[in-house]
Amino acid sequence: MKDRAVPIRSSSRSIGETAEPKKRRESGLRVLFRNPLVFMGSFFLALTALAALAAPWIAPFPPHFMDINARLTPPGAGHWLGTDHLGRDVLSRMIYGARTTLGVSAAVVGLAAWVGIPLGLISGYFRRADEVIMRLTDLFMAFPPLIGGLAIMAFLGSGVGNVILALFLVAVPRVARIARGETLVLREATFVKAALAMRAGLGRIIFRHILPNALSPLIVYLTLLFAGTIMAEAGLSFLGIGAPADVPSWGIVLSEGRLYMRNAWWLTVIPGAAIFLAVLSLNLLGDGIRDVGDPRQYGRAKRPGRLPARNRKG
Amino acid sequence: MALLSVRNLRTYFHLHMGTVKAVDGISFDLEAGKTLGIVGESGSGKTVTCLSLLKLIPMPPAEIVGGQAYLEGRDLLSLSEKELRGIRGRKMAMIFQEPMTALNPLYTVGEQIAETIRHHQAVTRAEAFEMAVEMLAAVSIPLPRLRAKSYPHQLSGGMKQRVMIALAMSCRPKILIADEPSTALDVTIQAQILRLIHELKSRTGTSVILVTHNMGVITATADEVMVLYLGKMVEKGEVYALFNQPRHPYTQGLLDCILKPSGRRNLPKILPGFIPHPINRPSGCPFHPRCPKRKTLCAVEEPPVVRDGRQETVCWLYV
Repeated sequence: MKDRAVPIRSSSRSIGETAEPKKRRESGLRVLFRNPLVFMGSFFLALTALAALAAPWIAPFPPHFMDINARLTPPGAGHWLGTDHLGRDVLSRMIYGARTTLGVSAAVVGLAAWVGIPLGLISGYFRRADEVIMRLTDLFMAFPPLIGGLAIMAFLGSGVGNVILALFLVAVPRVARIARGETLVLREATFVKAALAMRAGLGRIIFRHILPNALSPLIVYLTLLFAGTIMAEAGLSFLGIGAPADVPSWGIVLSEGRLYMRNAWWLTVIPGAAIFLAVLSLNLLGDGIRDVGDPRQYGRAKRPGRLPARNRKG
Repeated sequence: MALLSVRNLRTYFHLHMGTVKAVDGISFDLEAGKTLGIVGESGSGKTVTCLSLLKLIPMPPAEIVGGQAYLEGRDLLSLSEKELRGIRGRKMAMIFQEPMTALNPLYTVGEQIAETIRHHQAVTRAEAFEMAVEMLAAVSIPLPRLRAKSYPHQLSGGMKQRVMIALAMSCRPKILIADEPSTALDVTIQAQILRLIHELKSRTGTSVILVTHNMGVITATADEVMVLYLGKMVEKGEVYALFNQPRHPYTQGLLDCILKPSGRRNLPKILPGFIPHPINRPSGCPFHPRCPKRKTLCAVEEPPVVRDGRQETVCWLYV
């Protein structure tokens, strides 16, 4: 047992040891849902995700079931969201499509965060590594995102796995860049220096001081990335080089519907609206998550005085 | 035997424009339980001296070119990063100038102190937290148990500086380096913080290195004082002796700059000229271009250290 620190308090004083109320921290979820917009966004996303998971049970038709007699039926009683040019039920295709679209995006964002953030931290903290890693990211970022994705897809061929790989390769350098930028700022922060002066080691500096403080801009970027990936996946499908045509995705529904835009508006408006809502919800949720990570947001609403009454003034 | 003795410390910054000799041959001794004040204008090397002792300066561009700093017989400057970690916090701790940014905004102050304690001592989480609360009480923070659960943004500047002091003292360091601990605070809080450091020092026997550019702060708290100019020591001695009879023209000039409440027309005398650019240091005595008493020799050769009792003056006037 090492020697315990003896309290070095002056004997004469014992300050306010009594009458300290218990301060309870608001739970993270309460902070998250205090904002109604965040709640709505999460609600819509949760609904979509559930629908995607439960697709075989809740979809009224199989995604490839063709009812040739009911081609291009407008939304109505039989087909709630209408049918496409082959008589396939749009609602069912949207529900199944959510699996591809959300699954691909989640995989891309997850992988990009998992690989990009550590790369960025290393790059920002170690100067030598920075040169190598940043030149590599420069290489990838020389192409505009969709063009880069296109080029990689053209090289790999279509397929869901390849879409994920291509979009991941496009996203990773961007995530790494942001993590690096934050790290560069934070490693010079006084509290990092103070932690070093109190003998904190490398792991502690990076994982307790730098990463948590870098997280909020990263979360914002990752939600934007998620949204961007939904669009990129839709774009690749739209161009016909994304997921193969027999895998329904929102992008494919949209792209197939564009030929009939004039007389069957629902074929483009519905997937378009779904993409729009998903992107909007993600952005709202991203804002909410960022607030949860920030202690300044806790206990802000309607609980001004937590100190005992006699201390409230002054 | 001094607790810490620094010999000929030299820290240079290698920049594109040239080399800045931020600290150029500084030596001093710090006795156990004493306070050494370091004063000087901005850019005189006060902070770099302190950071060099803990090797907390960014290297590169900085480089500790030479010198030794013996703490209990071991040369700090030659220790590896791993060995240094045994010194940091435990033997020597540091308080920084800006309390606003010296605490991690994402954790409560209690967590931060408790974490540091657990990092140094084998105690449980709950015990460490209790010790953190005691530390907060020791630095006279009211309602310490409640405050331990506060985040840094909920505290005022003075409170944050108290927390920093609690953090630095939580591992009972032998030496506390306080780099302008009161500069960012208003005057009444300054006085409280300085009194606190003084009290803790006398209670725990910690030695203090106090960096400041405020002469009043030095007289109130320090035992010995060292005056720096452009990375070099100008004068050093026991506080009262030195301030009553400053021998070096720079120290005299510094003391003349202090406003005295003795009448409106009595504006302070100001040292003529500016601090030279650190890359183009003057030859000889670095102070000679501004010195009212310079001799021809001053521009040519660096002055030697002249001892008079315990007072050391680096000036040709007394050779």
